[in-house]
Amino acid sequence: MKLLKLKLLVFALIVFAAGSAFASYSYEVTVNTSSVSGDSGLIYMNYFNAGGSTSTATVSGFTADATTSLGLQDTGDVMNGAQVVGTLPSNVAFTSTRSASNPNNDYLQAITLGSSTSFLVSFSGPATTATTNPSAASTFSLGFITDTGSWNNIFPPTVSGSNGELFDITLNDGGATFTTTYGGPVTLAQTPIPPSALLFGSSLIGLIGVRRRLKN
Amino acid sequence: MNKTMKKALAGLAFGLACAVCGTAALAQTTTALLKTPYMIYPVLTSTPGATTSMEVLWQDSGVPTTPDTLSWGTDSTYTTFIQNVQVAQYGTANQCMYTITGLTANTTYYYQVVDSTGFANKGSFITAPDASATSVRFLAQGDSRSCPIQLDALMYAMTQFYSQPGNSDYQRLSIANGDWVSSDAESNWTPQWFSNTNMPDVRAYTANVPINGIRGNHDTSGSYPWGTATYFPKYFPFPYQNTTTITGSGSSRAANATTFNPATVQAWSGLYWSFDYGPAHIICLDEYANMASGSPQYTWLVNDLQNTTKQWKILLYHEASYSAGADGDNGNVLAIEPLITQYNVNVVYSGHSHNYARCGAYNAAQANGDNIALNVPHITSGGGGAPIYQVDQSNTGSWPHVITAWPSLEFMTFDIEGNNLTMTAYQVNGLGNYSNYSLSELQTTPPNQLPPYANLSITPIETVVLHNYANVTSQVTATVGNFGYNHQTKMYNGTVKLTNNGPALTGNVHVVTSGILNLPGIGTADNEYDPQADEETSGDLPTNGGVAVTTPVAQNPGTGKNSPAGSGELTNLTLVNQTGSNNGEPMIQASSTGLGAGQSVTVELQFSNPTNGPIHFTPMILNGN
Repeated sequence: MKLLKLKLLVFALIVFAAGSAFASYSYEVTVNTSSVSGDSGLIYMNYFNAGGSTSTATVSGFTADATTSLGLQDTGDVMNGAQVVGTLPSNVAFTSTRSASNPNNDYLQAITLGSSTSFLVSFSGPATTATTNPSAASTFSLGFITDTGSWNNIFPPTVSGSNGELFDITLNDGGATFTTTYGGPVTLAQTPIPPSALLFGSSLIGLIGVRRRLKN
Repeated sequence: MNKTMKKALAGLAFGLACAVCGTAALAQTTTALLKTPYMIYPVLTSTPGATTSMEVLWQDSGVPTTPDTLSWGTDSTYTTFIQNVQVAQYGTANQCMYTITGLTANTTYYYQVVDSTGFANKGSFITAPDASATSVRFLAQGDSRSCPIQLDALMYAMTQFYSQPGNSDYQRLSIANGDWVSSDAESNWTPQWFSNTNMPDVRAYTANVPINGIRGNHDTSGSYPWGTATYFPKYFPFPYQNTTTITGSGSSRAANATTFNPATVQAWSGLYWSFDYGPAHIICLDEYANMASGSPQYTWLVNDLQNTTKQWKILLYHEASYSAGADGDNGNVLAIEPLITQYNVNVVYSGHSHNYARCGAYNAAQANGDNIALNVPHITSGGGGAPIYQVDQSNTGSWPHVITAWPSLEFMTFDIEGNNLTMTAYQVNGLGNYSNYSLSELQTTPPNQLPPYANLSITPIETVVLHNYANVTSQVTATVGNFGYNHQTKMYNGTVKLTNNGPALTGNVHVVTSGILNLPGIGTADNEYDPQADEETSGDLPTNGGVAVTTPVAQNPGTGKNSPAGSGELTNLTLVNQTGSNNGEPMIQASSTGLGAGQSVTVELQFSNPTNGPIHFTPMILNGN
């Protein structure tokens, strides 16, 4: 019986590993902007390629409360904007390529903040499946700035990263992903639950079931 | 013939003989030095008491009635000497050589050679450090041929350099990487190095700094694997380890093994040797003798590398395996590259191309299939007097793996302090239109028309630091993340998380951010030093005023010679929070308290990228203090 348990566990782990290797990543992003409600400026998204493989980040499902309003997209102040396609609230796709002479992929759009905004950001491409190089990565980040002249942040630096961003989502070529929110008003939820995790969970449930049946 | 005639002829013969003898005797009494005193440090590793020796050489213009007198002591006024010895000539060329022994290590001595005219030719030297020393400094130079005024200016600048407060240690030795003269002939050796009155600084330098080195292609007749030299070993009779004499010509050439005899002026090959100097083991290869696997030189080198116990191993050969051009790289010497890795040679020092260049590859991806020892700087320092060549940093053609390069009259310093070796290349500025004077032009130029050396100055080209730390990259995962660009500060920011997957590491853990290159102090764009910048600083040794002048450097070294894809990327990055460097790459100390098994530490990176060059990260993790 112990052998059976071991086999099931190994099976679950294999399924989990396989699922991880081939998963694409999505995060539901929610930003509580109530503390700066009424402020106007620019929403700033950046997909930065630090030597990583080519990958794509797609922002979709942008929603906000009724007091939030979007203005015109600013294409004149961005770096490497050629790799960014789309305009909020519709989908915006960032293609991050290692060969680009500039690792930045900027997106800027005027915004008047209300109490909250949310969107889904999904990653796909080799960076999400490669398993060999943890020293290469792409990082997606979000910030809000007052204007492109000063690049002052609307949110205080106490809740921002060193680049003024409210959060980072990093995809390593090693196959891992990690997030940083700097203690700010941001909620990141990986969604949907990765299929690998589902398989692993179901395997564990099955294993528990087998154990109970044997006990009975 | 009657008796009278016979007597008359005998008397004439006697008279002629007397006249000849009288002439000879007269010449003997007025013999000055043809080649003023110079020094080598011809001490084999195996020689007992090696560090307390110095060899002084000179050449008389004839046969003196009494031998010249060599005296030495520690009195800088040349008044009191420890010992006086009469030195007889050896061989058939009026040469003199004396090995002073029984000296005290790490001590300054003053010596003089009094020739038969009574003139005292003076010099000084510093003995080698004790064999157990962990620190040492010395100078380095290469390719002095063909433009003697540049050589003289270089040696003036080097003398001024080691005369600066705090730099006196550098006087003790200079290593030379070949091409001393335009061709291996007396007509070049004598005026360029020893007796041209228009080049007093060469003579002053060689009288006070022993030079150890190798021959170059211009000091050689014939070609690999049978190249020979006649006058190079005559004037620089280092203890060559496996010399041969070459007979025949073309494909019928043959080598006869012969014990090197400095008194025999003939065509020698196999001019390789090695010596210890403090914590350094310096290997001088002969690139014009066979160095293929299984050859006597290759076998000797393997044995030499296996037996040395010195912490730092420096390999000299003339023609670089990897350079920035414009002379071609040498394919024969690639046979040595695996030995560089196997026996942990720290640096390769070459010349041939007349500029400064540092080539290398940090990992297999950068090597891109080329036979190059990883993480070992391949230095070209050929700007020692010969016509300066422009550099090719594109990494797209015949010169791959170029990390940085700079065309100028230059020399280098080596500074070993325990686990650290610091190498700095210095550009010599201010010669202007005098640079390319030929030897004959210099010999016919009145001294008052020579360039004013008071305008000479030096500028650091770059400083490279090597660490004898353990490379633990294989057991430490480096994960990068949170990268972005701050539009306010114009700085890039990110993190590198180091996770120790192996046994616990103690002491300092460093992350070398290979791929971010930082070269402060590189020369100004017009290849001329700005004296105004120096006046703004301390006024001592000329510097560039501490201003980090940005210069394009090869961001992605390591592509194949004929495979330009992905190469030729030049950028200019400056890391802000670096704590040191390794092999020219910025280095950040990630931990001073070690990194336990399974533990992680995160290092923040902040850097500028004004030229928006591609950014690559291939961190290397080192462990050591």
